[in-house]
Amino acid sequence: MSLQLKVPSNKWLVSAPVGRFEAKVADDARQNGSFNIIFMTLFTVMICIWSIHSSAEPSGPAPVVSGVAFAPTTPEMEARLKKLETELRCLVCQNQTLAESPSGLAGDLRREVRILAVSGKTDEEIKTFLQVRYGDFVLYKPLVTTKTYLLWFGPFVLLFGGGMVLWWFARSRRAKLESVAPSLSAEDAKRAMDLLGG
Amino acid sequence: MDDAKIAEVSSVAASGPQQLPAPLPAKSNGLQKAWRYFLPLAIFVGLLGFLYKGLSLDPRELKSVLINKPVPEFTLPQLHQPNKTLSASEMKGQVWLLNVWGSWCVSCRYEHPVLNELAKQSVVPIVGFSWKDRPEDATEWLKKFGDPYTLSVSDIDGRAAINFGVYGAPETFVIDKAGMIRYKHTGPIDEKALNEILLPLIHDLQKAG
Repeated sequence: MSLQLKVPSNKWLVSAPVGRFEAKVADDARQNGSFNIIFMTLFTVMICIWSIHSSAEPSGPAPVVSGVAFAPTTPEMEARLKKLETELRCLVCQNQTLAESPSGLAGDLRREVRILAVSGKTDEEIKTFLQVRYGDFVLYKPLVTTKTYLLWFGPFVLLFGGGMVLWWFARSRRAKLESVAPSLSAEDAKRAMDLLGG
Repeated sequence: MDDAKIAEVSSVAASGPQQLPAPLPAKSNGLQKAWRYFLPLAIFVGLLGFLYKGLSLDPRELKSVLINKPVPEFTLPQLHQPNKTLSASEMKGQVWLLNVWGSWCVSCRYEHPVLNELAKQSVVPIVGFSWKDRPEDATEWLKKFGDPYTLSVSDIDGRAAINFGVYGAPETFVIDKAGMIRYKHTGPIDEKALNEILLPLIHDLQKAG
């Protein structure tokens, strides 16, 4: 892989500083002529951090030409496959569906789904096929099981709890205010209205 | 806003605080007061517990659903002799490891010395599962870094790996004499995992019927 470093002109960067500190750094650097060096160093460090990070994970497989050819199918089948792929999770890029993931494994699984669908398996059968191999996690929409009750209903419990707390606070505050605030006399009320009405 | 109005507003603002009544006398009893301090603390400690637990959880590490299930049958060409094949059933009767790897996989290279060391002890046969790799790249790699595998199979298009629920390399399966998957290690095996988890398990499985 070759990287082409394109260093933007000083003018562009200095004219759009992000904050006071950056502006000062840019300014200082411009004055002693080392702006490019700083920029390049930062860029290099970023690239290094990025490459260390990416190599620490079990990476996706490299593309290998598949031995299984794709048979042409009907538009209905393509639409069905597309829908099915959006309901399945890529195990590598976990927040992506099979339809959107670029990883090699997602490609393999898309191919497998296609083979199964063309051979006459129903959507349910295909999902079960992947579930017994990869677990429930392969379904993009989590199942409602005892394990996922918290996931499904937790937000509503929190919302309800928060609402209760809010209601309780508002009520006690109102009670407090009503007990201490003297009601305005007609004269004061008129004055207040005049002031507010302007 | 004209000046007169501003002056009026500011005089009201200035005299405002003096007109407010004295702060409320504390009406809540001791129990309510204790709750006021205890509840946020309890919530905080609970949150801390979740966060602490979260430190040791790896979302990438998915528990295999194949544990205590029979090893998926496969018949794949051998890496070194592509005209010969190996089937999972041929390994029956012994405890064995299946190590999924690829020459494109950086972590596999990290793991490799540990496997070489394990192979030297010859306690357990290791079957190499070359995943989505060109056979020539795989053999080249093994020549360069050593070949710890008793036998190697080659799953070029990755279809057999799907039956194992493989989602990254390296992955290592421990399979018992009856052909049941007993353990799956996701990611590179290090010395610690080998000595504390894998070797004791292998010994136990070898002793068992």
